[in-house]
Amino acid sequence: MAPLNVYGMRADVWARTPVYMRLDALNEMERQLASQENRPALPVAVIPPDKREPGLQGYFDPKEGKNGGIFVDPQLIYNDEPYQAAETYFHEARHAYQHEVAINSEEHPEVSREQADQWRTNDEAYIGSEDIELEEYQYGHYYGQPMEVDARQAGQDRTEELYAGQFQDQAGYSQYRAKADATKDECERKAINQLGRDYQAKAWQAVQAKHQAQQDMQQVRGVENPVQEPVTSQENGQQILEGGLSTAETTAETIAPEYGAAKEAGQVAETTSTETSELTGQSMEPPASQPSESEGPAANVDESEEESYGYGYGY
Amino acid sequence: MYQIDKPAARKIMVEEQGYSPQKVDRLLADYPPIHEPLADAVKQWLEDRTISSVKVEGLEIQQVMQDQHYHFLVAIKKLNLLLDESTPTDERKRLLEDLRTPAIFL
Repeated sequence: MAPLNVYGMRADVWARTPVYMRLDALNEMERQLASQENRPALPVAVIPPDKREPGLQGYFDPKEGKNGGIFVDPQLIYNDEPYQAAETYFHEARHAYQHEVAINSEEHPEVSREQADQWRTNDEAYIGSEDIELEEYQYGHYYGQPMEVDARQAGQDRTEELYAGQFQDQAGYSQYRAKADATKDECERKAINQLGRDYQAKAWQAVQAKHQAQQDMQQVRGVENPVQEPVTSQENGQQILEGGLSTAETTAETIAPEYGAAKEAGQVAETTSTETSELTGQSMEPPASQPSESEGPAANVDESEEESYGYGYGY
Repeated sequence: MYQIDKPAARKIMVEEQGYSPQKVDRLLADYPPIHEPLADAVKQWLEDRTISSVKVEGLEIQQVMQDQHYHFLVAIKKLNLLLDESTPTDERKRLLEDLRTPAIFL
């Protein structure tokens, strides 16, 4: 990554910037990073009140606006230290890049075909928090899936580059880094506790099985309605089939017995919003200067209509 | 020990809470018998969806739901394992550590 010209993200500058203007610094960073990555720049905004949940620090929603949007926990914007806001932004921006590569790989020769294929599969069968709610999957599957592993690494590397490298931030950043690393270690221990040391491999297997089951269901849908085109909608990376799905799932198990078996295997899980007018006033529209172009479980696929949105919350 | 009224739980989850029937059926298929005092909490929830402030090993139901992004019945199932004497010590220890570590999503 070439150095970003983002004075507003420097700790001392951020601290004296009014809260309502801090998102401008993140949007400026997004414009520059998106340009470097050959992808549309996305608006960066705070998580809307109705989507805030404990533990949700940010997400990328590919369905927001024309090209998607990046959302961060408002508490990170209120915080007078910019580090976690920056790392969360970099993490979600990486998801935006992964998504762009997944749907437009020919425009990104810098990414190997194998990597693009893996992101595409993960993009279409992302395991989010809504998959954990009823124990279809475990947190370790979320944490260990390829797109999350990669986004965590990219988020950390870029934050490190910006603060330890470019800004030479000796004091505040190293304190933040120590705390962030401790949290990361806890999350990794949780994943290992649930799935074992090979949690990343198991998470990838779960993603692949989920993806396969989605394809089986689509196929079944096609068999059942050979004349009518299947109606699908992209809902957080899952192909959600609309209508007739209970039957489709049943038939999927008949045609593809491994789907039913995989579902059985899936049952393994034993184991604030202080709103200020300053932030709620932020729009998801891009700034005016920016053109608006801007062994684990497997195959727990469902035709659920539950709302889900974006990476970090279930893409 | 109390065996949950599965049809009643299914009705609440599908009709009131909007979960997909397939997901609910998978959760309820092997739902275990519940120990006291969690049994009373489940009965109360079936009655009026109130979440009792019962604690197991210092963990409150509501806290587990919030920290782990679990549905009420999943939180109960996890806490029930901590009350089950047949749960091996190492598994209990692992589960406790798991439930004490909030799930972070980004």
